[in-house]
Amino acid sequence: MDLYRGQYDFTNFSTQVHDFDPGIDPYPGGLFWTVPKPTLGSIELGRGKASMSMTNLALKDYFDIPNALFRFELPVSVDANCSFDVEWTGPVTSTGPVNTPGSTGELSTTKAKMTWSATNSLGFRYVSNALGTTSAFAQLGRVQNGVFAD
Amino acid sequence: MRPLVLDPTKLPIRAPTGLGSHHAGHALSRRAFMGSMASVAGAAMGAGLLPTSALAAKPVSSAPKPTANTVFDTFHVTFFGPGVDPSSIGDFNGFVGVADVQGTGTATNPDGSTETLLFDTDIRFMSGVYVGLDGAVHKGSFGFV
Repeated sequence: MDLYRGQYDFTNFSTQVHDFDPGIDPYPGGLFWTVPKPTLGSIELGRGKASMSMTNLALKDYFDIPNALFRFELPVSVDANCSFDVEWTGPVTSTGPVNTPGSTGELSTTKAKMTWSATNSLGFRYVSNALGTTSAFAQLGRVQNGVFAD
Repeated sequence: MRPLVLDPTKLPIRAPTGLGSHHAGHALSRRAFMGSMASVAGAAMGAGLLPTSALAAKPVSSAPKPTANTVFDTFHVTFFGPGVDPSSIGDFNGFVGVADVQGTGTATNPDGSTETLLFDTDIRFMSGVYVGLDGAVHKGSFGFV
């Protein structure tokens, strides 16, 4: 979950000021930003609806994505935690096959909204506004990869 | 995670924690950085050559394996998009969800000042069955945060 001051910069990340993620374990080739046991609601693929939430999740603030990947700032990160609620709201606008090599399945494009909050050990706090969010991209589906792919 | 156009050669990259001390504290060229990554990979591969007793203390884990897909040939992750398997875990069969949501919020800085900051999230879930590091099939749910 990333925070930017003034405007987004998805090319050089020059305006990014916080990057909350659980890290890569083990670094650098291990599980990437992945944590167990989120709270999931019912998943309705045909309606494009689902939900996920987590409360008081311990993670790190790496401040920006380049540093989260390559770890060149000092300190690399500080302790943080976050809570979030994500809702996939539908409707399904398109459905198509998975075309990633080594994977099969079907994915549907839908809409999503979320609220979240985070703090870090330096005393920074953030609370998102529930209203006015934009669903830049949202997707639900079923996939099989590795030994489960056809 | 958005498709990155990030050029690692333009970053003042230091050695990741845990790499050789002779690398620490100074910038690395991309070649040196990738060499460091190769040494990490080599160490991991070399572990397979160790006597079994050397690995005996390592607990068998039901944790999932990372996806086989890589970014920068190093990080086991995929971007998201139409037709793209967004799973961050490998040997997986189940439901997935991706939410890239943008918005605003109120930040309170350590000095007590407040400001409005923009947010952008790449949140995902995976729920189903997977082959764990222990080689067994497990059922579970995971979040990509």
